[in-house]
Amino acid sequence: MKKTNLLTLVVALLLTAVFALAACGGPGDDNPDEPGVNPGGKTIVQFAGRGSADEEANYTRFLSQFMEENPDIIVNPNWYADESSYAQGLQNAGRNLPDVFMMDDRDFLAYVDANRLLDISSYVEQETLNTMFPSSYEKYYYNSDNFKLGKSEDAGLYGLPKDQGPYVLVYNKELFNRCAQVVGYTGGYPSATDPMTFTEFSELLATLCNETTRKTVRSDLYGIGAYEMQAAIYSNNANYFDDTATNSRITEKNFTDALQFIADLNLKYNVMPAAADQASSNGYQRFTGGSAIFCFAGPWDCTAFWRDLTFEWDIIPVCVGEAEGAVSTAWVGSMAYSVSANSKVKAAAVKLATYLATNEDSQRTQYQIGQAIPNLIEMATNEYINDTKGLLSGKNPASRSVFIDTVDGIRDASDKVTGKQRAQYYTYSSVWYADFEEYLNTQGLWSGAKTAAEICNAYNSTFQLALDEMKASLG
Amino acid sequence: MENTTIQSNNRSETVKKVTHIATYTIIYILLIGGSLMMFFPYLWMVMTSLKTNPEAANTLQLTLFPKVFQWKNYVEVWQKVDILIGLKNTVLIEISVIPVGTFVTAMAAFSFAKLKLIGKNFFLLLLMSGMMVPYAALLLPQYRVFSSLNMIDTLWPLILPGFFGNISMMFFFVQYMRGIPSSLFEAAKIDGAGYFAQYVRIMLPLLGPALAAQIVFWFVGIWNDYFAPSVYLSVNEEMTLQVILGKLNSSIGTGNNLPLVMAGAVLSSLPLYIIYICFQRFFIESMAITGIKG
Amino acid sequence: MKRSKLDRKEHIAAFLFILIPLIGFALFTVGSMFFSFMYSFTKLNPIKHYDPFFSIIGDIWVGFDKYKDLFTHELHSERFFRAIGNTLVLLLSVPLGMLAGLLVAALLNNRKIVGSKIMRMLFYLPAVSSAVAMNLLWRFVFNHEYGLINMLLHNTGLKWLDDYALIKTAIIFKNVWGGLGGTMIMYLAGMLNISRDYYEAADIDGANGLQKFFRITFPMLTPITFYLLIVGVIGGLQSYVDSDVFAQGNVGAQTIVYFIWKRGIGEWNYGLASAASVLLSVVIMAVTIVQFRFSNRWVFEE
Repeated sequence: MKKTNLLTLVVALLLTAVFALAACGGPGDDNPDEPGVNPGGKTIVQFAGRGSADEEANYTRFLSQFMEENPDIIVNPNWYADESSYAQGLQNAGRNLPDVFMMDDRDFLAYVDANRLLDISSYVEQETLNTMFPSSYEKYYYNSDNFKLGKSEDAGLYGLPKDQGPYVLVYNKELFNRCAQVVGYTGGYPSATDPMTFTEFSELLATLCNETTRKTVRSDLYGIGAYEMQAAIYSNNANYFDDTATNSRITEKNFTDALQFIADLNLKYNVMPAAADQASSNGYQRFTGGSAIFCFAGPWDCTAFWRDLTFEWDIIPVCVGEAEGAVSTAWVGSMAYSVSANSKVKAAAVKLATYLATNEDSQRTQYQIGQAIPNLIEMATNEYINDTKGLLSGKNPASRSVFIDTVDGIRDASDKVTGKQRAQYYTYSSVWYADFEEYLNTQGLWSGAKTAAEICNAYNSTFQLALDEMKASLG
Repeated sequence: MENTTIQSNNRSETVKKVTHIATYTIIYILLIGGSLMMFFPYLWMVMTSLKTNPEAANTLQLTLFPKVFQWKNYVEVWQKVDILIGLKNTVLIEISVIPVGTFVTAMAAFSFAKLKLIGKNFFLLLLMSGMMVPYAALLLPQYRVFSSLNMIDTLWPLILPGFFGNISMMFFFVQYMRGIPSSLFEAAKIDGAGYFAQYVRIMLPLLGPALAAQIVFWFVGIWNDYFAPSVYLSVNEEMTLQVILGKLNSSIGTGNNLPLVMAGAVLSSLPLYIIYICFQRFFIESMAITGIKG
Repeated sequence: MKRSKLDRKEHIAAFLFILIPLIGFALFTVGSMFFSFMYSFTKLNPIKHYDPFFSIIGDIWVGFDKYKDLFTHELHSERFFRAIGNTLVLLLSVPLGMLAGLLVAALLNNRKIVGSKIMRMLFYLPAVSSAVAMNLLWRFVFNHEYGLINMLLHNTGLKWLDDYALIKTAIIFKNVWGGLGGTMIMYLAGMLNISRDYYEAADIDGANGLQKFFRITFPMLTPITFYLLIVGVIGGLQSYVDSDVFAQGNVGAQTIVYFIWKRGIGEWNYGLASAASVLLSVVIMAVTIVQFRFSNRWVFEE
């Protein structure tokens, strides 16, 4: 009797516990103290952002300015330092997504497709949008009927740009000069408007970085620490897939040529460290340490470069391939300010997102601290490039126009530089990209065990399968 | 005849002495070599933290000691990341979890070791089986529960489970308590002491060294925990020391600055090393007292 | 009558005393395990399926598909198998660490050794050091361009952090280094508790040091060896920080938990992650039970 009593008690207890857990197991329950309008009549907007502590301090300032201008709104910020736990927090937030939050554009499709984001097109004036580079915000249009990304008829607008990249080539002027002097190269610095071809780049590096300069300048000298894959592929008139990310294009000659160009920087020209050496020091470390002449960098790197680099440096457009129709194309992209579809304070939330994306003062601060280039066309093409406010005097890079040329697309026949969204932006998730890179590594592309064409042909069906699966995730 | 015996005795004595010396030489070589191997990485960590970045990552020439001791690295780390906030959060978890958790754990262990309970072994095995479930299998649902309770980016997900006790600690206590004579409790029972009183007044004081040792181990475990805090905490104000250290490696500007990362590692470990040196008796000696049977 | 009443009171008190850990177990272990188990039969994607789990379970139920995916899906199975292989190889650091710990304990278990206290402290130091700090340090130590190891080996040029086999070697070395202090302490404690009588008896029989160690010390320590083996294997099967912080995702060092975390959870494929977690739990329990089953063949009991 006693025995059964106790046992029943235990079983009952365990079951209650399990059900208690089950009841709140779904993350979908509404937050009891849902943000909204507080007794004072003020609207409370939850904001979530991610970045360094420096950035946090800036945002604190932007937000208090915003609240000064909008005394009826209170912004409650949450600032996150770590990328993966921030993403983890967002994906498990359920209906409790913050009203306004920063989101990696590589995750955009998944969120917009799940109806998690608010269509803000009816809240934001076209005039306001027109002040920004079209490439910066048009990518945040989406049509959920035909799963089409980008601006089109019936598409809604689901985000505003935080910034826009881009990721271009940077070089160490002093190291460049020292090497040039040793080998007697008199070609001068590379052009900021006329991109080098793959071959020109490889040969320039081979001229500057060889046995002679390794003996005289420094023994761990390299031309470049690592070459960015997407920049090479895009700039050789190639892509991973077609416009809708439906069919693989990795076996096309332009594609494999671009990969081979990167591999040959090490295998043929010996101006880039082998893959194994890249594991011990990445391209960024070699560049900042002064042992690599070239590197890839974005506007956000300026903060650290200004603080840490003891040499002069400048930027140039990414190299262009030899393929027909090839244009120098760097990847652009970054994070979006999105508004939660479940937000109870939609108007105020959109107001905040718009403010952060287009407010002159916040845009100015972003370039002044070396965090981003302005989203605003007017400010970027004059104030920023020419430094009319004198905020960048004496600061590298001198050729700031390279950043702007990259994001503003092809304007006329003389414009040879453009940008394109990161490949992961076009797909439902990003794992395919890591898988592909991993496959290239394990198959020995960088060690020369196999050619790019062989590897891509072997991987094509798997790659297509990954694309198919991501397509199937939509809707 | 006698002479030879003495001689051979002498010889065997000498042989014995030589083997003795040889043995000890080998023992010392092994031990000192091993100790150096244990210690050298730490020395290198401290030395690297005092170098300039180019000096630390110099591929051409490696040196152990910095040319000029860069004490400013520590100042820079101190300014760059909020070690004090990390310390505060870590300590907050420690002081909320350990007293409550230890009390609950020892109470359960007392019950398992000394009280009559139907299905005792079943319950004990049940709880012990929890140690075998990989944390990775539990983290995802727990994360979603804590998320729905709005507890992400608070210390609660790291504190709450601790309130319900620590199973490996409990197992240890059960073993230890079984060695304490039951007559003590019988006597108390006759004096009219309740079970709770028996636990608090008799058992707890008797736990002495075992309690100290186990608390120290749990303390170190919480201090160095990384996986769960890194998943639950992403707001700067709520990070523990270990999470801050992890971020130091990736956060902008310091990610590629080896001396700063090493300085951060030294700073975040320092409090624990001080505790370790002061309380090393508890760390090392008390293992022996706590009843591990050979 | 009175006796049984007292008994009942004791039973109730005893039960109340263990109630809190039981509730914790139900909430945090059984409850979570139950959900993991249920997730593994669904295609739960947290971004898409954010309504309470049981209200949508019908829509996302996929039966055993996720288990099948682990073993046959072109995009996952190879990685899953590789993760299992890596995890098993890395388990080597458990016996090696125990061996090293036993050796050091045997050498230190001698009151005549000068400085034994300091040496003990040094050997145990990694056990109180944070895994993150140690992984950062060791990553630096194994760096093939400016790391300590290659400096000591006179620049053999071994690329520890890149090569798939060398990185496993590096992890095993690092874990033996980090783990031997803990095993040393356990063995030392065990040695202190072995009755001197055994050794005195052996002395009378004229046994030398090595013989004493193999005939008395080691057999008497088998319960500790057994305990260390179980704890080590359970921990080793769950290794994650090595893949993430030390190897930074190197293919040759990706473990099962790394697979669960990066591939399942990072890709919003909670079903796949949960299926792998459930299988891992089953394996750990099976391994533990088997170890217990065979323990009576070699574990010494007084």
